[in-house]
Amino acid sequence: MNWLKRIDTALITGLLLGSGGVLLSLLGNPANSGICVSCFLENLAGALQLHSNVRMSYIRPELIGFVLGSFLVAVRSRRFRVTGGSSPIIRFFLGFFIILGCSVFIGCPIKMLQRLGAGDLTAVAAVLGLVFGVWLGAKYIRKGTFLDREKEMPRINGYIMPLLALLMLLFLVLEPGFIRIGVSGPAAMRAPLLVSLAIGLIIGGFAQRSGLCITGGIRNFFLVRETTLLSGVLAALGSAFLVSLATGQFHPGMNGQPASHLSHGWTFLAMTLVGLASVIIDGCPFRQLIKAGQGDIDAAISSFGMLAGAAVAISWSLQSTSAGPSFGGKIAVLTGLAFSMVVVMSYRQRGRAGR
Amino acid sequence: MKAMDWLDKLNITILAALVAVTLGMLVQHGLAARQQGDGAPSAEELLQKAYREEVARDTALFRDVRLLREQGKTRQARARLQEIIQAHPGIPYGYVARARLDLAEGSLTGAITNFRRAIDARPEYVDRKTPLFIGKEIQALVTEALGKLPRERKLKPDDKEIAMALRNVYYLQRRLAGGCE
Repeated sequence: MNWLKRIDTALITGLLLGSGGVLLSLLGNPANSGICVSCFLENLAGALQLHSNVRMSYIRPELIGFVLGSFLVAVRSRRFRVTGGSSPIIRFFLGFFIILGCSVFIGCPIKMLQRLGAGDLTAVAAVLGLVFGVWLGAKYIRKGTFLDREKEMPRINGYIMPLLALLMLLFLVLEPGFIRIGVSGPAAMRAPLLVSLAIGLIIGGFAQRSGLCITGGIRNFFLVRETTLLSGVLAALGSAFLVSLATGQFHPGMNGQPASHLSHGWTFLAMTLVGLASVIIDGCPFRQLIKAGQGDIDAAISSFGMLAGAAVAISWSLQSTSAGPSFGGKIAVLTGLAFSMVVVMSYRQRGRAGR
Repeated sequence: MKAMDWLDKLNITILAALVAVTLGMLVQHGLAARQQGDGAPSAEELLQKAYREEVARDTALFRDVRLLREQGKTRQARARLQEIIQAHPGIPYGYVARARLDLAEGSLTGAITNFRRAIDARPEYVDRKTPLFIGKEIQALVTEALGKLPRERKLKPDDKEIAMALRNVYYLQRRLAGGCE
């Protein structure tokens, strides 16, 4: 593992995320959605019968790979630290609303980069919204908003998420009766299991080492002009663009883009919610899974909130379609933004305010 | 590390017994389910069968409409289609039949609207993995519409019907592009 220390792991993780996403699309995952944590959580919720849309029901091996890759590398590099106990219910609901925001845009921040890299110009509004949300969160951090400090916890807590990931792998292979796997629609669009799992494991491992986070990279830049993680984010975008171009998946324009809509205002607001809430809980949806794998119980709680959000997004038809956002989705975004604002106000310690 | 006392030993014994019993039950249940399921169709096979039955039903049900349309008797075809829809409400294929009639009568915007309704009612019409897929036909319509409608929109910027048709064409284009929807 020494060679890893000599090179910029954030940059490598970004390159892997961008190119891996496009390759997974080529190998069978939905177009422009080779890696999408929010879409994959919606699929997982369906497979566990937490919603009833069978076309969106599949246990994506990439999710399993992210958690297990992070866990294995953390254990091997002695970075497996079990901590938690910081505002669990707040983190649960912020995770919940993050996925609702993603479902209104139709994609998590990683998919946003993939969509943009493939020429989908409707993702520009999402980038602007995400950057604005992160900027707002960074402002609140500067002014003294922090969730309470986590504390060390017994190690068994840290093993729950990796064990659940293993259980999901078992369910995927054995397909017991209570697991539902869709055979049409997005659920049937999937890269080969072993390839998806391997790519997930590799990206999960590198992400654990690098700490790469889409919102974290932007936040660090706003807070301290630190660009290590941001270079990873830009590498993800750049590699998605180059691989899309090389494989004939680059189609620039607003119209005719897979799983997109033209309600740019709602896209902006939805990703503002994702950016702001991600800054409060210290990480985008992808980062929450990586942290959950390395023993962060708070991130595990956020991940369960994300899974609940994914189930509700489909069950209550809050997710957008090619026709645009639903009324319920719009209300969910506004409610999520209001909830996030109340949280940042409530946790602000005025005595600790910075500039 | 402290030596185990009697409670630890009891705990480990019970734990080992629980793991052994649970694994045994799971294996037994799995074997039994496999034996019962041998030869039975999988969920995918059942679904594909249901799709094929739907195609066969729609083909038979709308046969008269198709024949009348192919003979150029679009007025009679539309009347027959209305009868079928009234007798069998809620069949998504009705929109497809309407769209084809619209095309036969030269109404591009009508065809676009009805194909959009068809896809909204039955997303499998643009799912390549099902026998219901009619994406190539819709793609041809979209290509034709994209060659005409933007030009017409420029000539008649206040025409709401053209504006709506163009929005529907872009919608069809997005659905044909696929993605996780």
